[in-house]
Amino acid sequence: MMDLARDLLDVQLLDPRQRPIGRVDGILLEVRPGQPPSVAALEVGALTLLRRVNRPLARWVHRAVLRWLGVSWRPVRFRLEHWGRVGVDIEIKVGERAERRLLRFERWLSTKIVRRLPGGTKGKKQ
Amino acid sequence: MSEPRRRLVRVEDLIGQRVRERSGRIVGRIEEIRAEQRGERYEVTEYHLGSGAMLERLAIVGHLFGRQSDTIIARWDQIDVQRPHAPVLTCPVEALKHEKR
Amino acid sequence: MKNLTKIGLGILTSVGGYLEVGSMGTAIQAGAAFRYELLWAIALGTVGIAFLVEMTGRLAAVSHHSVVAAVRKRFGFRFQVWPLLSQILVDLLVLASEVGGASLALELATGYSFRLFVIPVAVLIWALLWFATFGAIEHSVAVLGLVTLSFSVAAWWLGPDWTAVRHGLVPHRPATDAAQYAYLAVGILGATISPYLFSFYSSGAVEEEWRKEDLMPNRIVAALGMAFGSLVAMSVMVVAAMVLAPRGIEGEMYQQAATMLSLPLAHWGFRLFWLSLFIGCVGAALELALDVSYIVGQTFGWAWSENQPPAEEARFALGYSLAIGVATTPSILGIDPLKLTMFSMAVTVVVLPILIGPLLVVMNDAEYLEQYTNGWITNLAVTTIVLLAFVLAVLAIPLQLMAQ
Repeated sequence: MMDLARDLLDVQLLDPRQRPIGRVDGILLEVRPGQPPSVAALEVGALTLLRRVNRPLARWVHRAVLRWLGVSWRPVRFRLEHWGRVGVDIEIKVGERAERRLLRFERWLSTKIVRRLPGGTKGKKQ
Repeated sequence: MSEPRRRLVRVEDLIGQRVRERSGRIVGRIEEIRAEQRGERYEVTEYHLGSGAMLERLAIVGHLFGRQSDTIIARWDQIDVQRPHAPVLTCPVEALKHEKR
Repeated sequence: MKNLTKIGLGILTSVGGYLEVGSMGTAIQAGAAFRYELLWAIALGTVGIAFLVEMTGRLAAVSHHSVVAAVRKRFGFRFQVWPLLSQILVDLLVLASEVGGASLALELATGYSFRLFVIPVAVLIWALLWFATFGAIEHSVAVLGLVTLSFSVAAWWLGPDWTAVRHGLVPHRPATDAAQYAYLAVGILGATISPYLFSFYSSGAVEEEWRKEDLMPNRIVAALGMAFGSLVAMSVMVVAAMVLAPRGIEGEMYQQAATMLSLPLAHWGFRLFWLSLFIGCVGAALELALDVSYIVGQTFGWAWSENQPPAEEARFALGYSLAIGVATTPSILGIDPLKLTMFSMAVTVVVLPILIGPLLVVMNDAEYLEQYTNGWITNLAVTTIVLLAFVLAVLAIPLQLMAQ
């Protein structure tokens, strides 16, 4: 039993190696006549977050990014599968496919820019 | 045989929305959506409605003054959320449960 | 034994890192204009920040959440976006002030305009964050920052009128120029109760994986660290009161204000002054840039750690890089670092209630703090101080603007 707003929204997501990878920015319910609505997917994305603050602004940003950068900025969606309670939190583990999509920008930034700068990949002395 | 109409609705759109009776009178705002795991699905069982006052939603008022807020509990079938920005009661107001939290 | 080292290190870091352009600039101006009469503002601000630092350390130790993460989880993003944006704004303004302050220190040292040093200073700060670890940064800031103790030595050597000092520690109305007095009080409060201080502290506590055993060391470090640090800030005000005020040198005339250590400490005085300013500003800038990365990363739930090489956490590195880049803008444009500093301090105070309100709610929530929620003293102290500062700011800022 869980309270979707309090327990599931804004909750920390972990990758298969238990490292933080994002937060639940949105929850999608599937609504069918005559049946209880059910959780269809969790959503992660800056636009999903922006939408919660101001829907028209989020739509505008989506269109602007599409027009000026040619990128369709879509959120990452995945099913609620592996989760557990840890203290006050619910922690959700995402699968490898979701992990790859969630880290797209991180990987791009790391490969294209950070690794090319001196000291970018050096392990840090503790 | 056509598939029953299926809509995707966002929880974050529902939270804070005013629920109205068929007559248009406001019943309360959706403050929480409770779900239970049934097999592989997580199904909505209840909607919790409240006055929606900001302070109450942040649970400050109750803590500060020791007052209890009045929550209305609706079963999943008692509210139609097909249109998330205008959820509608599907039953008479009297059929709803009240709870003090 | 390990606890003792931890506590000692914590106090050292607080003392060494206490002085930066905000606390120095406001203390010098206040000492030059009002002698000891604003010492109470430093004391009051210190009490406030000590409570806040203890609170956020406790939050980290019990719930393993930083402030930002706890607020997003507790209130949801639609609410948290406002404290987040406010904190980023304040962090960037203060970071810009620190970059300006460090550049100003180099102007004092070399005689060349501070604008020439803005980019090199920014590159230095960026390089330190890029190549060094969290621990290395913290420890060097602590040790190098001890150069600021020269103010304490100078204050002791000058032998101030202790009765007047005692009188200054009690809040009272000034004899003259109430508008400037109040504005300086606001500036001092903003410099002392800076959000990045407790935000960064809580991020560090989470990175170091504090547990409930760390609650007592946390309390000691918060109290003693801030107390000793405030003594250094008070020393600055005392020295300014004894050296600058009698000569009619105003705080804004920083070329002359920089000689304030020359009387007690002879030819080393000037060198120690700009070194203190430079090291204090760079130390604070490091924490501020990191804080921006931390709070953005925590809000979005990304992996965030200063101990990973940048390639492992590219977005985290992007965060502080962008912050530093943006922060150089005001100084490059030639905006006077001291004016920028006073402005940032005023904005800080006005924004404080937005940041501390939600924190107080979380600190009283047993779901996060279990049985370690705030006592009524903590709640009362923090609420009173923050509201007082806010009211003072709302009254003083328009008055000061009109007076100018």
